Amino acid sequence: MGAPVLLAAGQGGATQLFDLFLNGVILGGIYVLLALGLNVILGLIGVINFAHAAFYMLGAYLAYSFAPQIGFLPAVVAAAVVVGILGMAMETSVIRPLYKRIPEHALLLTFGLTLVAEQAVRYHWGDYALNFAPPSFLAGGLSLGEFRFPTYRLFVVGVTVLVVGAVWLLLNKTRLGLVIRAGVLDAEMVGAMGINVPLAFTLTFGLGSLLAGLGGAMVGPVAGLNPDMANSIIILAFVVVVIGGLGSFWGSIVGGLLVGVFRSVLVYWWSPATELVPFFLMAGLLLVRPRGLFGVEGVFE
Amino acid sequence: MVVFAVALYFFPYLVVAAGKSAFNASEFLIWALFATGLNLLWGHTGDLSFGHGMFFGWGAYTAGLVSRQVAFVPFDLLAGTVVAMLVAFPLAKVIVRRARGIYFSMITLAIGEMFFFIAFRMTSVTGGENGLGDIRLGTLGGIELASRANFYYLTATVTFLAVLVAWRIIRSPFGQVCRSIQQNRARVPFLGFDTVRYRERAFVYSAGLCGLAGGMSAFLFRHVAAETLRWTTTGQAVLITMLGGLNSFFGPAAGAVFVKFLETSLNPVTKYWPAVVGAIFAVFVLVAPSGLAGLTVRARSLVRRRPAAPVAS
Repeated sequence: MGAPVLLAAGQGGATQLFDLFLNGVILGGIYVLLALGLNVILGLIGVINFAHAAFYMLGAYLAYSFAPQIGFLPAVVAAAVVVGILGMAMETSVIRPLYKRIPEHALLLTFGLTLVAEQAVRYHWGDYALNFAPPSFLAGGLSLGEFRFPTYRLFVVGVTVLVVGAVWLLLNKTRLGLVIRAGVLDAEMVGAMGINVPLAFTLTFGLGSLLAGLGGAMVGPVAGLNPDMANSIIILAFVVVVIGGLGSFWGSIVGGLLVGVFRSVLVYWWSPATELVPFFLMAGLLLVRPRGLFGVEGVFE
Repeated sequence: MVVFAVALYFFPYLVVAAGKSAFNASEFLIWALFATGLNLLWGHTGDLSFGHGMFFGWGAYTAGLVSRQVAFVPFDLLAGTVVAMLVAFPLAKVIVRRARGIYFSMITLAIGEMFFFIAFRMTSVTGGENGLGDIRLGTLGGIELASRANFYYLTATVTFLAVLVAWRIIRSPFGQVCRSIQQNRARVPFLGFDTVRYRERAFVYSAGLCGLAGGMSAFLFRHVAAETLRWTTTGQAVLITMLGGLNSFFGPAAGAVFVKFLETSLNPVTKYWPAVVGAIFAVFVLVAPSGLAGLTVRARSLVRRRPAAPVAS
């Protein structure tokens, strides 16, 4: 469970290892998208969004439903946007009243909403796993020497790189990003400067949810859909965030890739690795660096 | 406490009158104990563990496995409790000092999930996907425990004793320090207390209570599923504790009865019942974060026309 099995047909040692590595990078890419969204919300707003994985799941299912009507690529975009809007709606309606309370309350509220979302998915799409075939123009493979790259996986990696780049630009080169980064440091002061902080919060929440929705929409053709996908991925997203460091942009990226590659490649030697490695990685790291790779002391404590 | 004992005695009649069975009554009590154990750490010390299902699971597996050798329930339960505490001790040493707040929740969550996968994979010991069966109840001083009514009284006795212990812990000087840590973590060290040691001890005690609840559940269901270790189990207990009333002593137990009653009532009606429970839970967090206990306090003050006693949320 949890681990989407991405193994290609077994070839020789080196080729197979490379295959596993590539799979790890793709898995890692999905984790990066998830963890980045989670971490952006956590960093600015200080809310652990348990519903994040529910957004991821919704993204996957929405893309699955949209694709036959509007084509694959528009469906992925539409699913991500719808999920982003849902995230903003959730923030303005139920998360906002909780900002003055202890952080656990928002965590608990979003946990309750996750239960609702899971049942809604079961109600609408059924209890069983669904298959989501990649579109025909992404279905084949590219050959390079003795290696063969499935096109769809390259597509996932490409989109991830683009999106991560765009988020970095947004956070570091735009006015909104400036407000968000300033808000992380001192939201009250930013508000005193006459900036609409609640709006920035809502947009951030929308951005984070959108990233989750996008990750989900793209994972469908790789791993399939099932109503338990939120429950099994949320822990990994948390692990990635903790490994990378709460609220850290680069932490999410390094953490996501690290977890993805480790859990994929180590399967070559030891098959239970895929489930256990993220936790061993996290436990080992926390003994040395209690706040993760890029975490800063005193944040969220 | 006397009231609690009397309530425990009459509780099954109420449950049966409400259309449930003595089996359900035992189930409710087990969850009440689980929530009380979690509350010892979360409500009274302030650390929200999202991995206490692991102690519930350790208790359940241990009691179940030991019962195959020694079919004597009190001994098996004790073994489950002790093992849960033994597992908790090194974890407390490693986690508590390093993590607080959200980090604490996330790390306990991940460690619990690690145990879940181990239990899920170690089929030779735990039965893996099929779960652990073949749990022997035996008899207790000539009393047949397979009878649901008798089993209920066993559950009630064990719960009563465990709750009594929890009550004593919270009322002790140790419990006082824990409560002050929960209320103001920064100030307690100035009074000369080493907060880490108190939080570690609370963690281990709480794990023991949850392990005991797990052991009882193994005997009630005669089966242990690996899912009991998963974070979804802990999530339920967290939800129940919050709904009942964090910080309040009997609140979580009341929450357990409330949620489990709702669950067993909704289950035959719709298979989407978790959505209803989730929605109710979300509403509680929004409008009544101090739970059923907080609502009782508010209602009482309305009747008496006095300002409500402050309920920490």
